[in-house]
Amino acid sequence: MKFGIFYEISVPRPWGPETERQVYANCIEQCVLADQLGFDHVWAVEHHFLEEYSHCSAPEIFLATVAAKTERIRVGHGINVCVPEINHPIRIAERSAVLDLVSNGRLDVGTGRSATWTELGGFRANPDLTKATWAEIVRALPKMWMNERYAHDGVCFSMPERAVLPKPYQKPHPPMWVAVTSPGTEIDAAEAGIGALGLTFNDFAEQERRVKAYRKVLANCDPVGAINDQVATVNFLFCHEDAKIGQATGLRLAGTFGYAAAQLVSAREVYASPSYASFGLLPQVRRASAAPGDAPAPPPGMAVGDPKHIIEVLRGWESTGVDCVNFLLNALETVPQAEVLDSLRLFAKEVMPHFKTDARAKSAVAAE
Amino acid sequence: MPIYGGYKPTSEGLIEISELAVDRVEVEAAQTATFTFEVLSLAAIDALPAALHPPFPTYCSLVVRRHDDSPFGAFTTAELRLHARATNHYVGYSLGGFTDNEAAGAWLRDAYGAPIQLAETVSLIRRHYGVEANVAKGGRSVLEAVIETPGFISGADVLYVQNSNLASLAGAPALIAEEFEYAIKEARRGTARFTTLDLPAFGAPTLTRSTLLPATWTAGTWTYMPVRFTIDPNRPAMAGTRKVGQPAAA
Repeated sequence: MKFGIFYEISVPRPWGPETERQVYANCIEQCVLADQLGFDHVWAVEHHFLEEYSHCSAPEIFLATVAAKTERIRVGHGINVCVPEINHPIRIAERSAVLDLVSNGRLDVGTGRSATWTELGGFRANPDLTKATWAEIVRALPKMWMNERYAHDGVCFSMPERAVLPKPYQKPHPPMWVAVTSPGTEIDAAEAGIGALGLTFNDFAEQERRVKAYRKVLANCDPVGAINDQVATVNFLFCHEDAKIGQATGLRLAGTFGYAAAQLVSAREVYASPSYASFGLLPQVRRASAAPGDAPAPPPGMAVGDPKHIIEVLRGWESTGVDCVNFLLNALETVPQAEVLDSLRLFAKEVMPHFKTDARAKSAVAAE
Repeated sequence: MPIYGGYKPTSEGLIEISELAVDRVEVEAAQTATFTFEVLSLAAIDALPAALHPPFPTYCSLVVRRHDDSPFGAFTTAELRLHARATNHYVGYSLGGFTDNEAAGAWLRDAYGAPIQLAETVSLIRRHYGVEANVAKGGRSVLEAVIETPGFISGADVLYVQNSNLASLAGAPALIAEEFEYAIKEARRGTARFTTLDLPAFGAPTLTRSTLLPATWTAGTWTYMPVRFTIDPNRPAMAGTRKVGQPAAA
């Protein structure tokens, strides 16, 4: 089991002159510590216009900074929005290659298509077409990286033969993923032979069903490039020696995240389309909440509490067949930075050793 | 935390509710046309009660619903709603609307606090080229809209958000949760076109329409539900929500 940390980079109002800079500084400090503690990944989203919820519109710059300040943790662009109005596919290939080079081959490339009208409408993109543009772009990217020169005559973009430069450091190319929120996208991932980067909090049974379906389809996939057969899920993390404090703080973190997520205008809400069957992260956080005054119900399997409880929860996720769990550490800075860092340290000390990977075991031996 | 609306209402001028809806009212034949458009944000924030959060972009939906039969006879309503969040719940804050049936209008006002007034014409008609919605009040048109050449979509693709109606309840202002259940038998989506949309007539004198989204039309059953909760419009919904029959949250 691998562990990652996952950033939306949410910024609470009021927005003073220092607010965004401080939030970014906090995130970078967490990444540096996570690298030292043995976490495997840091992921950063790409979102646009999402007030408070995510001010992470240029994750490649954030991740380049993280890469420059760390030694071994992998950096995941989670995700590149594969919608031509937002990112031209050539630019995705170029930026990814540069990030892979400057990080000495530590890049993971996430792909996706955005789930909000706020973003799609902001770029005048058509929500009906995003599945198609994603499918076209995700097949073009590996060829841009692997072929000396590349030409494309497609539906969502075309280009004459050109050398897309530079080429990534990892050969044949960095591992590719797709963000999975809508049901069935894990099958898209499997068919393309890329990793499923889960961004919803399923229950254990649903997660196990999805992993099995993914592995079954992957066995006969038509890969876009080098196969990445990993399945990741997302979770909250707050680890504290006192179980009550850990749970209370973790629930506050999850509740704050859900509250912020609810303020977005999802594509599903305003644009009736078969392309968007899911609200994304929101329903999991409010599914049992009946009225606005009711407290948000915690999603099942949340990694909040004391180390013993978190180990049990992660054993549950491990049993579903997922390879990685990526943790959200904060939301709107509701958890003070010192507590976030302490939570990471305690998790690394008490929980991580129960889930050793080969790489982490080698790091531990080297550290001794 | 998210910002709140800027409107702090008193009960003055609001519809007086005598008794909140306590029964389900199911209507078999219901057609609903929904026109959705973004509005400029600053005025939209000011128009929302302080209990609610604006989403971004701020947007409205104009919902025209036709019932060919009901306990009040046939009636059609046209309501303008400014969308918002009550904590993490989606709501459509009702700005104003019209109906062509006074008995139905009186019921919606009295039981749900819906700001509905009588108009000479409120209609929703299917044509071969699309779906037409019209409202005429005081001898002039305040709504002329068409969903052009609507194509089939799945009913599962359409989402309806509950209404939140500002009214006076026991002498104090309250947001009344007008909830409904629905079963869609046919759904279509097409390009929306307004020939006339008089926003001030619909209770939105300060709002400015911007981006227009595709419109939907559905047919199916529609059930008006009993009111389960109300919200103090001047307090955050987390603290000001009261389940009917229970005291307000601390």
